[in-house]
Order: sequence, then C-alpha cells, then structure tokens
Amino acid sequence: MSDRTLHITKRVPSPFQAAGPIVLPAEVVEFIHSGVSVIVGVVGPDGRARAGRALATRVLPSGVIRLMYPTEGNAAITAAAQQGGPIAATFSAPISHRTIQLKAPSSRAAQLEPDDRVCVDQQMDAFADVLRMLGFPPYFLKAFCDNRSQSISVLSFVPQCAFEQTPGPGAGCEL
Amino acid sequence: MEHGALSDQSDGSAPTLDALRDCFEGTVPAVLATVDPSGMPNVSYISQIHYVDPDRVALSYQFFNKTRRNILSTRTAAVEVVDPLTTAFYQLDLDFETTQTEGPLFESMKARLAGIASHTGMAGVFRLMGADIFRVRAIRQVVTPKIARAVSQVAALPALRRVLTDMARAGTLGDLFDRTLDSIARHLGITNLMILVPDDTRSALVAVATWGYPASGIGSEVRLGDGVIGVAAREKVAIRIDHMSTEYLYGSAVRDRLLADAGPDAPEAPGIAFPGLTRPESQIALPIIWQGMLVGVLFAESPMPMRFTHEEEDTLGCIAAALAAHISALNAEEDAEEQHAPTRASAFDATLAIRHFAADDSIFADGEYLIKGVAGAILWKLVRAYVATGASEFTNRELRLSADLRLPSHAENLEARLVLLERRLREKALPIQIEKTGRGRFRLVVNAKLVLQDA
Repeated sequence: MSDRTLHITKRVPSPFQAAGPIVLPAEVVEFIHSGVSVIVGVVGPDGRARAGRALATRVLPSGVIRLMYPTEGNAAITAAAQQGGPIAATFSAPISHRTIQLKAPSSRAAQLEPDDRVCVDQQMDAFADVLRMLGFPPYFLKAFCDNRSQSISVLSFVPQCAFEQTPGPGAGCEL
Repeated sequence: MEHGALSDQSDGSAPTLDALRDCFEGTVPAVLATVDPSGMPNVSYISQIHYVDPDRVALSYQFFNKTRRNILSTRTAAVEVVDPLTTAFYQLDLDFETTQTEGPLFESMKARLAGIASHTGMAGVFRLMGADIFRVRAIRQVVTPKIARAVSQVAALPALRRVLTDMARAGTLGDLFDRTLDSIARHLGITNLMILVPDDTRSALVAVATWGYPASGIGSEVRLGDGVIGVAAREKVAIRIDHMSTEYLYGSAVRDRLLADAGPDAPEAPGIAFPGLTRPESQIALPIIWQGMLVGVLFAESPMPMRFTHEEEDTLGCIAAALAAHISALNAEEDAEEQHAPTRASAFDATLAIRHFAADDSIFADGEYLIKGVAGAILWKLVRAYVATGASEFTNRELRLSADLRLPSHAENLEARLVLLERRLREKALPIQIEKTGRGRFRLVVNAKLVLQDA
C-alpha cells in the first residue's frame, strides 16, 4: 500500500456512509441461505484489501447479516470486524453462477449463537453437495466439512448496498 | 517481495510464487479483493490467475466493472488461492503494473480462459479484454496444509532425464522426431503427440511426426493462428487448455476454412486429414525456438480434462528446448559438394504419373494427393532433374541454393521438409522414395517410369 493511497483513503468520504440500511427481498434471503459460496473482502490496517471465505450466513428479520467464518486463515476479517471496518460479502451459486454482493461501511465482531450453528450445518451440507456435483474429490470435501469442527468466528453487518454480480455485462448493477 | 509475514510454514521457509503454481490451475476459484479510493472493499471471484514469473502474476480482465475501476484507481489488489492438493490457503498482496491487450501472455491467457468459459458454461460471456499484470508484494500462508501432497505417478525430473538421454541418441532428424515422441509416451505417459514444422511460405505448420493416432496424419496442416498449435506458433509461447473450447478445437470448421481459402481453382483434394483426437479435453502446444526463430511446435493432447499442469508444461518446455538444439545440431551439415553423376534411367514396366499444381506446389501421384508447399516444390524439382538427366544423388546444399524453390533462409526447415517428404512417400508406398545417404546427402530411388504433368 502506497502512502498515496493511504492519503486518499483518509481524505475521501465513503459514499456509502450517506446510504441507509437496505432490506433484502425474501427471494434474495432464500438464495443466501441456500448453501452458496461466501467470500469476504475487508480492508487491512495498511489500507490494502484482504480476501477471505465464510462458511455460512444468517439473515436476521431485522436485516442484519451474520457471517460465520473459520477463525483459522481469517485474521484479517476478525481484525476488521473488531475495529468496525467496512465489508463486502459476495454470495455465489457455482452451478447457476448467480452472484450477489452486499456492502456495508461497518461491521462488528459477534459471538457464535446456537442458531448460527444450525445455519452452518445446513448450509455447509448443501454446499458440500454442490461441490460433490462439481466433481471435487472426497479428500477435498472432507477438508471443507472439517471446518465445522474447528473454531468458528462470527461478524455482523447491516448492508447498505446490494449488487447483482452474476458474470456478464450486467454485473455491478445495484439490486 | 516480502514473503510470509504471517507465514506458518512448518519448516519456517517463506512460500514462493513458484511453489504456489498448483493454486493457479483453476481447480478452486480464487478470490479477488480490491478497495476503492474511499476505502470500501469489493470482493469477487477471479476466473484466471496466470503465473508470469517468480515475482509476478497476471489476472484476467474481462469486464470494466468495480474491480477494474478499483485496480486502476488504487493500483492494489489481494487474492486468496487454495492449493487443491493440500487444501492450504494463501493470500497474495498485489501491486498493479500494467495491462497487456495483445502478445504472447495475452494469447496464452485468452486460450485458457476460453477453456474455462467452455467448462463453466460461460462461453460467449467470458472474453479476455486484457491481462492485468501485478507484482506480488507479499505471500502469506493463512491455512496450513490439511492433506499431505500426493506423490505423483510420474516423477518429472527423472522422466525428463530419460527423454533427453533418448533424444541425444538420434542420428538423423527423422530419428530425433520419432525418438522424442516415443520417449515422451513411455516416460511421461502422454500418448497423443505431434511435432509440426512451419512452412513459412504458406503461413502453415505441417505435421512431420505423430504418436498415438489411428492415422499418422503426416503432412496434415494447421494454419498459423488456428487452435492451440497455430497460436503457440504465431505468438511463440506455450498454449495450454485444461477444458476444451470449441474456439480452439481444430476440427471440421478449420478444414472448411482451408477449403474456402484454397478457392475454386485449387486441386480437388484439400490435403491430409488432421489426426487429432475428436474430443480432446486438454491440449498443450510448446513452440520449438532456436535463436529466436520458430523451428517447430511440440503438441500433446488428452481426452482427460486438466491432464497437463504447470509441471507438464515445464517438462515439455524443456523437451522443446532440447529439440531446438538437436534440430540445429543435426542440420549443421557438412555441406556436401554436388557429386551426382548422371545415371541413365532404367527401363520400367510400371509408370507413375506425377502432377504438379504451381499455385500451391501441390503434387498428385497417380491422381492421389501427396504433398504441397515447400516439400511439394522440392519433389517437383527432384523428379524433373531425374527425368531430364537421370540424376538421383542430391545434396541439401544444391536445394538450398536453388532459386526456384523459394526456401526459407534457415536450414532447419529444409531438413524438416525432406523428412516430411520422405515419410509421405513411404506412407503412400510409391515407387519413388527418398533415402538419406549421408549428412546433407540423399538419393531419389525410382522404380517406375515417371510421367510428369505441370498443371
């Protein structure tokens, strides 16, 4: 990260700060709960982006999104959530390619709740079936499923923007 | 590059980009995160990460979207990749350098992206607009391997050593071609192979040796720029496809184009059928380059998807480099002086009608297509000399100095043309054959009365 970029990061206000929370349509919530891949983008202390992967998502009736992710390998996500940093999360169905991205100017770390654990189990089972259909070998599936017995962290955020990200020229349009 | 600030490699060493190439095979999609100038992150999957060199990778740029705008404005990005064999996770911090929209790297990525698009049902959606090149600023292993890396069925280095040893035993160019393919098949387990040489006068490549096909296909042609072979030759870069794309499939469409290009005045037969697999899933083409000049293409294919990885590409690349050196050495002929004493043509009962079409130097023997291009012109010159003077002993030197042959300036092509011609004559079992009689010398063996027709 160059000093120049850090400088810009500090001076330019985020356009998302002015936006309000959005309520996702029920159909989108259903898609997010269906066992899709979840990838996460945050910003590190050096101002550079960091990428990570989550295991499952819980959309609360209030519109709050809870992401459950493996603690191992996601130190940058945990640090960003603990500091209330901005977040982007993309939900994708590998077979249909349907993809949606949510963004929020802030996030927060949370404790794993019993209902979070239910979502993890359900969505990982469903996604494991998808990986199996895609031809991933058993050892890979086992490594994926073993994540549920490892330490799981949680963060929450209130989405301010939702984007259509299905590959193609329409990607990037706001939902 | 700052290696492994957060690395927890068990041996304490930092991961290098070279060691991460399995992560770039596309088995597990990579995650790309960027940030905009206001500090808002963006995250998406990236179709393709291409290993450029030990310090740089290239990402496929397909759409002008938020990711692209972020990269251009902050000139930074981060990717997370997974080693599909060990399930270890790595994060790379990237600094954007430049975008290439043409050239070898672009073409190499374009070909692979076409395969990825075809495999994922995204043909027509994925189109490479550029190859975004990034310097890798840092690599961190963030999830340790959960699975021990499987031992490869073929240990590449000892296999390569055996292939190179076999190649070094070749005494002639034809022998070199055959030994190389035979040895690759035996030691590397790759069973569909070809060597093609360029015909510079016609912007085409001609198969001079093949392995593993029902028909030899020697003499069949690929146009420069067509399929992985043609693109590898045009761009002088290795082209690899892990899942076949119709865009790169060398089949009836290309054959139809050859026919159309040939025009209505062309001879009735378009040439020899390309012997390639009907339904290949993986293909790789390595240019054979000597002193900056393309002298051939080494090609391999398989009905299995993802058959060729970076390791096979490296191994075949070494073999292609060795081929270039051996081809050059075998062509460093002691230029034999012309020494053919005219001999009288014997009397034969049988006749062989040889018809020459000047438009493309194609030759038909008793009405059947034999060869065209430079090899066709060579044969036409030889048979005319034989009929006129009875000469049957020839030297490479006199062919090279012959103005009417329009030979490329470098000798590699001449020797390869003679190999091609010799093989086509042998394959057709014609009463006219070519035999090497020494370095830079060969003999035309004729066992029929030749009747020449210039069309």
